[in-house]
Amino acid sequence: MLEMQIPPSTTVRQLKDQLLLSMNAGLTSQEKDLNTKNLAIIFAGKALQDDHSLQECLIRDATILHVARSREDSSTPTHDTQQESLLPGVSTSKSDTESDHLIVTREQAASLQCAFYGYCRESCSDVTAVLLRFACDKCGGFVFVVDPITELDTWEDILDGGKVHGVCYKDDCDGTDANLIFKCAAHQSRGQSDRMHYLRQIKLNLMDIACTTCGDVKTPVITFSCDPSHIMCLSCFQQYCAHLLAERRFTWVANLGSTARCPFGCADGLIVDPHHFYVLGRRLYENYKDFAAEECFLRSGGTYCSTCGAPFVDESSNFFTTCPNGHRFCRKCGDIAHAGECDALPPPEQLAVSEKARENAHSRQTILSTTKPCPGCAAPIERNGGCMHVICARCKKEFCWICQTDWGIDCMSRHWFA
Amino acid sequence: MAAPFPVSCARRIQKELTALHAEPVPGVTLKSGPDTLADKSTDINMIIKGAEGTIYNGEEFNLRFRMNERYPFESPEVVFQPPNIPLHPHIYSNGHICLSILGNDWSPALTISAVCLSIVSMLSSCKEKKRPPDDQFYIRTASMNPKATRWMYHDDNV
Ligand SMILES: [Zn+2]
Ligand SMILES: [Zn+2]
Ligand SMILES: [Zn+2]
Ligand SMILES: [Zn+2]
Ligand SMILES: [Zn+2]
Ligand SMILES: [Zn+2]
Ligand SMILES: [Zn+2]
Ligand SMILES: [Zn+2]
Repeated sequence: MLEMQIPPSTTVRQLKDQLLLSMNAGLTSQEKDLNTKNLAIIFAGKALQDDHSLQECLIRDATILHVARSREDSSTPTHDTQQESLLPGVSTSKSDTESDHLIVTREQAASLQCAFYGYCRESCSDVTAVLLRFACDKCGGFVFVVDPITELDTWEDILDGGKVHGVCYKDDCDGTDANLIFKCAAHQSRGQSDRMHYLRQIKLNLMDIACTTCGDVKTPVITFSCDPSHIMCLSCFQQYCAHLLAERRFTWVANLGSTARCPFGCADGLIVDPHHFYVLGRRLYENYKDFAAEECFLRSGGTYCSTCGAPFVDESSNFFTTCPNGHRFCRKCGDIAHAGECDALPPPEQLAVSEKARENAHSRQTILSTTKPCPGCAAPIERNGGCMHVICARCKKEFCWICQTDWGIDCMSRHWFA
Repeated sequence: MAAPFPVSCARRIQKELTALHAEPVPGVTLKSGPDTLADKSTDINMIIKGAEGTIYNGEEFNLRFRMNERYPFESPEVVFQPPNIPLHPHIYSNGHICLSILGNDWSPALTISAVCLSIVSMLSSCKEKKRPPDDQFYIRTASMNPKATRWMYHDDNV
């Protein structure tokens, strides 16, 4: 590895000349067969063109460039077949004879630079612009030149984790596929493993659309998956998610899990990748994960023990179940096993006179103090004081703590505050 | 002393009031806004006029919005104020309104305007002046704040 201080206006050819000087030092004249034509400087999946400046190639401070010796055959990386990768929103010239299509204009370069965002968890703890790099699928190295990508569809596919074709220039590696990887643009790279998660629903607000919640025009923004996509600025999105978490109001979507819906309630307006909840910050993101895991567990038929809280799955349809710690209880009312079938509790007036109810240990005391499964979704519900009208935070079912059925006028008049 | 409103929350309310002024909801006028948005809780009072051709024709009602510092992520508290509480199957005689967008169906994309529109249309579509069936019981037991009530939403189309 060679460290060099180079002004940004340096051209690729000048850089190669400098490199040759240091590489050839101490070699015999016979060995000095290298010349600028045999060298390729590889960066972000491209062999850089001789007449471009490093600035034009979007090379920033502390960037690692890879130098490779050109291959003998016609597919040398310095060969003028490189075309600018077709990134969303940027058009390219397809003419092979034009040499200035590697990097288009400065404005386009600037927009390329920040067209993709991610959440930097390692260093910045913030939403930051993402740098795109290609790593060889075989050796993991970055000395890889990708074939020109001309279809937007292909780009979508690559962003989704699809492979890109090309040539690995690392010695002894014959890799022909590479993966797109993402690095934080806001902090100095700490090497090849310093990567981040690309968040596709965070985008530049090119049309200056106002945030659905605060009305301000900001960029970048969160875009929901509805059509046309409704947007929210990052600070509103952060507060929105924190509120959804506090109120347990995430939307459950099969295949996605617990997620956030567009504030306009659009049926197709969702956050499709839960990694966007990274914006909650480390502590709240952990809470979100716990919440989502519990939700998933309950959805897949899991139960929590009414005595010790242990989670377990019992796929039988029996009334009674036993937790891994040996606590037997009724799944319908959460009570430790009563005799016979559970008949959900009768109203308290009848409770007083019902022999059976008393035998069953459904005493007023236990009714008031234990956790009960929600009659709608079986989530364990703890009554935090207050009235007998309980709302399940998970499925929104409103039920009577005493009757364990739908809340109704009857319950209001008989035992609302019992 | 109460903590001041977060700036973002105050700005949002300010924007809504400006928009409400520029584009008023038919039949609704702003009576008084908050003196300052620096208080923890802020009251906005609206006057709703019963529209022509409806059973509330010629009547006037006072509606109070109260926002806390979690607005707009949390719904506003919206209550009719005495002396004249509309006689309506979803409006209790203490002024509390049974309307799903004020509770479970609230979204931060909703606004004071949107709530006013819903309430106006709720009044306009009503065919018979009467209180909710559980009115007497509710007003004896309900808290001052309608948001402390866990509502069973009646059919919104009545
Ligand atoms: Zn970073
Ligand atoms: Zn390789
Ligand atoms: Zn916003
Ligand atoms: Zn939407
Ligand atoms: Zn147990
Ligand atoms: Zn039972
Ligand atoms: Zn439930
Ligand atoms: Zn009951």
